[in-house]
Amino acid sequence: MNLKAKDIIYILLVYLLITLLISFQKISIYLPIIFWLSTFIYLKKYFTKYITIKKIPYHFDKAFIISLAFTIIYFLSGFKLGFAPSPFKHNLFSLLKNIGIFLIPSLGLEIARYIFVYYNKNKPLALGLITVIITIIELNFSFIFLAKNILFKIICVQMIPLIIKNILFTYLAKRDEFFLTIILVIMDNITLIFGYFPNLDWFKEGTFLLLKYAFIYLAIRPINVTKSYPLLFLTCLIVLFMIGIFNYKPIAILSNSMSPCFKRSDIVIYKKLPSQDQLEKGTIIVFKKQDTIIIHRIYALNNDYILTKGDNNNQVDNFKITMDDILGIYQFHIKYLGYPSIWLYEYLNS
Amino acid sequence: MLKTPNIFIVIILIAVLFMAVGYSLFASDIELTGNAEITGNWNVLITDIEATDYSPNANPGTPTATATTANFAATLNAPSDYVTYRITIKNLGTIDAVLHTFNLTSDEYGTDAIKILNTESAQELKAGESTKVEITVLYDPFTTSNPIITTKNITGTIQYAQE
Repeated sequence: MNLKAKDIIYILLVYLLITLLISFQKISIYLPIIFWLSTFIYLKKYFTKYITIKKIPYHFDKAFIISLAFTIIYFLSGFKLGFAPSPFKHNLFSLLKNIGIFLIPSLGLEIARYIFVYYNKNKPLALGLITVIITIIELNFSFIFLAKNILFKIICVQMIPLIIKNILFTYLAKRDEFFLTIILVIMDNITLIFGYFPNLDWFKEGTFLLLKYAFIYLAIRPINVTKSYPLLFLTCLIVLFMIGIFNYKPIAILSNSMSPCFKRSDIVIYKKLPSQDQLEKGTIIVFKKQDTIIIHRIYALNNDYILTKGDNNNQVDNFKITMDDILGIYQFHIKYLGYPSIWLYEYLNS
Repeated sequence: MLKTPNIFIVIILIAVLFMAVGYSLFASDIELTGNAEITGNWNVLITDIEATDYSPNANPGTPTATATTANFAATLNAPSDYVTYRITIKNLGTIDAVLHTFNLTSDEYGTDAIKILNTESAQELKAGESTKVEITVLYDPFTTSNPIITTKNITGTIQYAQE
């Protein structure tokens, strides 16, 4: 009996049901392990037919090295940005449990994807279907009940990379890159064994994953894609600029407190980490107060604290700041470029 | 040779620009402790903060929360003034969690006459469950000083680990 593509869909739909029941705490989180181990036993007789671990193609080395390099860079970034303790336990039992909870279902999904794609390599709709189904399986829908501003960050750090990853993995399945896919899945889960993670914010974490997938994709493309490398280089520049590698950072202006110098919807570019001798009365500084970034002009300063005031405000700000609160010094602004951020802000606060 | 950039790379550029729009907007960052590569099975987040009680002359301000930090600024004008905040923490993942660290930090420009009182959050937080932490900011009723600064900015950071 041949395994049909629709059998794979049935397997995935059953697994989707299992994940939904787990989300509502109706069943044990260990059930997926039992489900996939049983499925592996059932699919074992089809392995040799559908799973072709080819002679390793030359571009596998490139893709593997890129993935390894990104993993190393990821952990090295912790020395610059700091580390945070892993939330996972690392005794042997917990390690085996986490491998079972995370790695086994991931491998099962990739085997199911590979077999389905085997039957549908030249059917774009079918490839789209399998990508969507597996993405839905891996999404955590309990986030939809969160506040919009938190949900936005979750979308950027988990959902978008998840969608891109599934597009990439479907492409790898289409190219018969089963071995590479398994290696990438294992490397994605290798962070389970480490006690500390780099303390990246949501933007760095999300864009890091996207760039990793982009470079892996370009490494295995069979044809020359010279038009894509400049675009990818531009993407890397945007990311590096946003995180402040070049010592300058942008920020969208949400109010008119500094009008007419700059106004709501402008983008201010500021230079990071000033020294105290760069500050004087009249300097426009960027500082953090509680959970807000403010850009105002220095009204008065001494060795202990600084008073600030917005050009368009009638009064001096009713707080004092110190050098520790200051993020940078205003350099210039770009008119109207912050409108997408304004629209997003208004939507998230509606 | 392709004449146009590959669509996959274009999609990634659009996704990065989308994130950049939000990044230029948000002041505070979520620290998800490196679990972004895991499929969302681990997620213990601060989901809400509100001022639940305060004395007539106190001002609770507008408390805000990100996923792992809660920020609030209470203005107290006279001894015995107080504001009580309630922080909601929810385990949205599928793995049971236990409290790892719970830190409250305040700016040094608040006066010592303002005290921070809190109840510990639940030690265990099973998947799907939520817990609440109450923090009270109190102007010491026995203080004899008359501080100029009566606003205390406080940041609470809560971290859970696998049970």
